[in-house]
Amino acid sequence: MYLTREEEAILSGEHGPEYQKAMKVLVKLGEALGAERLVKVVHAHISGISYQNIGDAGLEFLEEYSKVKVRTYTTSNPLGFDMNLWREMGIPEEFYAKQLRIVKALRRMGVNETFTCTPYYIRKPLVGEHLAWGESNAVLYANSACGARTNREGGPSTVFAALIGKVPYMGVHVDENRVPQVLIKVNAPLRDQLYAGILGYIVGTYVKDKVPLIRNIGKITDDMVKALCAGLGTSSSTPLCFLENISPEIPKMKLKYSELEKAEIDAQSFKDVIETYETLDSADTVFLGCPHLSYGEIMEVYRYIGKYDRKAKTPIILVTSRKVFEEIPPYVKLLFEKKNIKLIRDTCFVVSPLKYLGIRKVLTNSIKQAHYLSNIHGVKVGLCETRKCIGIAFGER
Amino acid sequence: MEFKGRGLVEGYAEGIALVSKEPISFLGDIDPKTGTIIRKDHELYGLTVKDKVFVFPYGKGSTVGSYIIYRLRKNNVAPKAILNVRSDPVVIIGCVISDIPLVDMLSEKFFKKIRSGDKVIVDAYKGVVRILK
Repeated sequence: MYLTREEEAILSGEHGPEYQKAMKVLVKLGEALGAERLVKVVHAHISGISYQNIGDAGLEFLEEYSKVKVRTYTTSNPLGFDMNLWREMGIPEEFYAKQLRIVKALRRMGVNETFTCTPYYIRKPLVGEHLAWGESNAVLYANSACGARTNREGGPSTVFAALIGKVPYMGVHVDENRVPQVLIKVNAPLRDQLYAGILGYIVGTYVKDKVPLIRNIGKITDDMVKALCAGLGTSSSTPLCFLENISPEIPKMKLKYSELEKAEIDAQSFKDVIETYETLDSADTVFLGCPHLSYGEIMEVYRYIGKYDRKAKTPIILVTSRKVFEEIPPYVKLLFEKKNIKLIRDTCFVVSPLKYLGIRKVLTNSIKQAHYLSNIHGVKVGLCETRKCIGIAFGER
Repeated sequence: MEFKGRGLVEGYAEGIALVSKEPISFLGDIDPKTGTIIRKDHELYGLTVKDKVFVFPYGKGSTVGSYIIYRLRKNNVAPKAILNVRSDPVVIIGCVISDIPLVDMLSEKFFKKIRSGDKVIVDAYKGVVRILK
């Protein structure tokens, strides 16, 4: 692999052992996977920072590398719980203490304490920018909706990329790999985030590691694009998809549609996915916020619950980033409190020690959340449209 | 017998082989405190990777696996070397940060020949592995 003089110096240890190791990781990955050089990234997003996921192994590693600073703008994925509500969430002292050590290690490294799976709400990537992002929904959103470039980095590789501020120039960083391989036509209306997410999930199951171009999705909202990316990331390993009328690179592509593999998706496929989950007309929790809710999504819930003059019978949990949390007006938070709606931040149930929270039956609009809650945590999950989730929480049938 | 592969992480090691026909997920399959293989339905259940030349086709599963390899090394229960058909990023990163010699792309013949308990010498500078028996 070609290295600049400065990269060589880092590799030979001139910047200390941590940077040396980080550079060696990037070089070895690049050599093993066929990269000719490294490329600068403008934004790294570190995934795998919940103590629930990385345990003592990850904690010790991050502490050891926290002697040095990141060399590019860096954000961080969700934690195991809301840092302000850990006692209320029933998190044991020891778990809290270890999660706090991880947070402090990241702080010493100069990582921004965003604790969200939606780094694109923190800093929206521009077309053509190179990134080093972990977290599959974010990777797909950056590549597909923004036209930026990032491979699906794993937790550890995001740390090394952040320390050096570079990644091996390979995968979807390279033009030649940013072309669709499968043409998908959707023959069903996408009514809300539920359906957009399921579409992504179905497409991902079909394409696995290939790049799809999805057509006939109409005018879907940005929130639905996010849901689609999350669903696609759950069932596939592809880092990139092209969405008709959305992906900025499409107008410049010379496509030969006749040469692409083709598939169609009809309404029945959506029903089939929903039916693999429980039919719940009651639940102990209604969950919205996978991926983390946007400002607009939270305000939509606020406007929708205006029609109920009572409290929700089932608690509704809304999850978002601390950035969006701060932007929500106090009167909205006040109404949520009165209506048995909890707005929480910093976390995600998938990486949360759910056993302490006493959650058994969840209703959600997110296929990604449904998939991981039932697979990892053994929780019963039902899938509903956003408004129906809210309606059921308020006792509607 | 000598086999040529690709040296990914440099180093030199001599030790007894522990061979898994199945891919390994370091997170979940191996206890980072003892190096013992803890997945009940694994063919090597109950054995330890400590000081072994650990041979498996490729890594799978969570990227947290890299941190597990690192912790094995910190706890002095890491393998002396790792040999793969094809190394994946989880294993490559784990071996780089833990200074564990890593060789991949060894021939099919090698994987047919090698058995748990064989004595092997690994020269990961050159990507050469010798089975001494």
